[in-house]
Amino acid sequence: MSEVIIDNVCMAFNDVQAVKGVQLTIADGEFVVLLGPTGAGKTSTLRLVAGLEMPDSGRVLFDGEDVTHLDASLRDVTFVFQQYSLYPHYTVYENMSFPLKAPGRKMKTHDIKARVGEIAEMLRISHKLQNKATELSGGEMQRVSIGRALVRSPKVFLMDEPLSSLDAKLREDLRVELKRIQQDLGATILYVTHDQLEAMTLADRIGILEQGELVQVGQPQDVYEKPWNINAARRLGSPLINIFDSGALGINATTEQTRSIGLRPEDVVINRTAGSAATVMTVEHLGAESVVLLESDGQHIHSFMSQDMRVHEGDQVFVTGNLNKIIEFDQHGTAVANG
Amino acid sequence: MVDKPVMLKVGEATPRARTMAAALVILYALITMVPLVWIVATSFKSPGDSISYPPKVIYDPTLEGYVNLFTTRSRQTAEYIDGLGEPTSWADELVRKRNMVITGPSRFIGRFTNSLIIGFGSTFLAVFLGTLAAYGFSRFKVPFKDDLLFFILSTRMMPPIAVAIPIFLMYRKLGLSDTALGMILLYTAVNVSLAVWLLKGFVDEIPLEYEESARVDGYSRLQSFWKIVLPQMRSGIAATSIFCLIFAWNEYAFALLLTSGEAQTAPPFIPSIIGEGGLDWPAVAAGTTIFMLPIVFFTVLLRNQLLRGITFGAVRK
Repeated sequence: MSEVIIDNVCMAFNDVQAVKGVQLTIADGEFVVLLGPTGAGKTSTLRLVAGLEMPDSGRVLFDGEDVTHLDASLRDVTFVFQQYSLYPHYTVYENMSFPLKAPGRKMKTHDIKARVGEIAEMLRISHKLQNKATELSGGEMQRVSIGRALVRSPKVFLMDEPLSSLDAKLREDLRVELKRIQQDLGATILYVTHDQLEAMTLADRIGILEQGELVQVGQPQDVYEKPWNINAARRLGSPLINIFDSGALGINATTEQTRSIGLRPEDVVINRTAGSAATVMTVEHLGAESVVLLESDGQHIHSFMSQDMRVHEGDQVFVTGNLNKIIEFDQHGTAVANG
Repeated sequence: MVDKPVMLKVGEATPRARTMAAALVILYALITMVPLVWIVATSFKSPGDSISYPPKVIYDPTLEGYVNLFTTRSRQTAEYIDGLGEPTSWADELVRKRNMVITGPSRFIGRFTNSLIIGFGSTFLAVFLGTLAAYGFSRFKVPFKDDLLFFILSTRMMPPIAVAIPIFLMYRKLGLSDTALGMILLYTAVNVSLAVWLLKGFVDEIPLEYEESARVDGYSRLQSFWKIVLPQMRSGIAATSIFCLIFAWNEYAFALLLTSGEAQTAPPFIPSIIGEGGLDWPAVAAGTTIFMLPIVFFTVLLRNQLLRGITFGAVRK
């Protein structure tokens, strides 16, 4: 495993600047998740590291060695695609052994067999090894796909939304498994997703990408609590962070530059006695918790229902904000002061 | 018992419509096959039966047509034939009944071999070049890509025979007249545009991720093309090959113009049988029957790939 440095990399497709000066260091054995909306440049960044795209400027370094212009086949990385990546004319075994049979590797058939068997065991697909790749369910395909990456010990694992085409249950299983495998192997992983739950649970550090720019990099909890701008704040947390004008909920700005105030739903407290008057618009019961949508002074605000305070649609209540947790943003959406 | 109402999806044909469609297709197939069946039937007729009127549907089959196709014969007097002793083969016996003796093999086998060499040679070359070009056009940033593709297509916009005279003169200068190489190059030139366009469609259909995955797995572009892309193109290559082969195999005008001896193919040779020994229709029919066989054989051999290839684009998963 290696340390990967993405050094001020820029890349454009025709007129569209897909990646704008991304600067990121992934430490040896670190799990970094790139999070962002569609078209933010996540996949492009991943492909640049893989060598499937060449940057217009900037460098990519593995363990200090400049690999910017090295062909993908010589970089010793693995890439798990979102879909379509199993070779349809091969069996599962042939698919998984394919990278080991690459001309440059010269591995013995016996060793290949052992290695593939070991990984197949780990991913619980041993009984499917002789199946055609096209005769698998979606979940099995994606496990084979991940297995094909795991048979090698590459410098870095690159994963492009590997779980997004799976159903919820399987996604959860594989997520847990992936984290465990990563810790066992001490693998360096750069992982792309638009699923914040995956990002929060898997990542050692999260990188938030917006329109080709890396807005913020940090540990999941830090990014969650101290976002650098509104977009980063909106990227994590469900329901979305509440953004409202200064003065709403009786919360006033503490700085001159503040134009809007952000407050996570869990920091909005509903009660029947004091605070700003609000009307309960809807209540969504999600099982362990219930999300309440409130209206106060014409602003829509999300909150969670507490155990001892049951509310119903149409109820008149009061809300207060946890002043320690407010995040203030200036006119450009940049955070100015964290409470 | 009451018939259950048949559940149909939107756009699905009713059973009656299906039956009618099937009947129509079978009828069409039968009509198209009439000339072929007639040719095969004629090849087993005697010369007399072949021109009788009204045409004979039931007749005594004979291999005379085939014997005449493969041999040259000369007419002799009955005394001369009697003096030859016992016939050396069944073919000999058959010929002697018509007061003829076999003087040697005909040129048919040579012409047929030429057809095989030129047909398969040009098909291989056209599909080989077409595959590489199609891959290139599909996967690389080629400057003026659309213009180049249009140019390639434009070579098909004029009937090839329109350039017959220039090609005839050019081939004479280059010493390519009446050579297998000349014919292979000519048919390749005509077929390659079809091959590029057909195959490009097939390459476009193969997701890029396969190759990218192979490259990340440690294979060069050429290796991943060979190991991953080519196997995926099988049905496309099969369909394209058949189309190219049928063109090269059937081509008559250029073959007549540019080949006369060494490199002559079967299409101009078969009608020339008529000139050689009177209206020998069974021999012509025998030549045509044998001439059809390779195409029939390969079409049947590749039928599954062909079906996928021809319906390509119409049916998507």
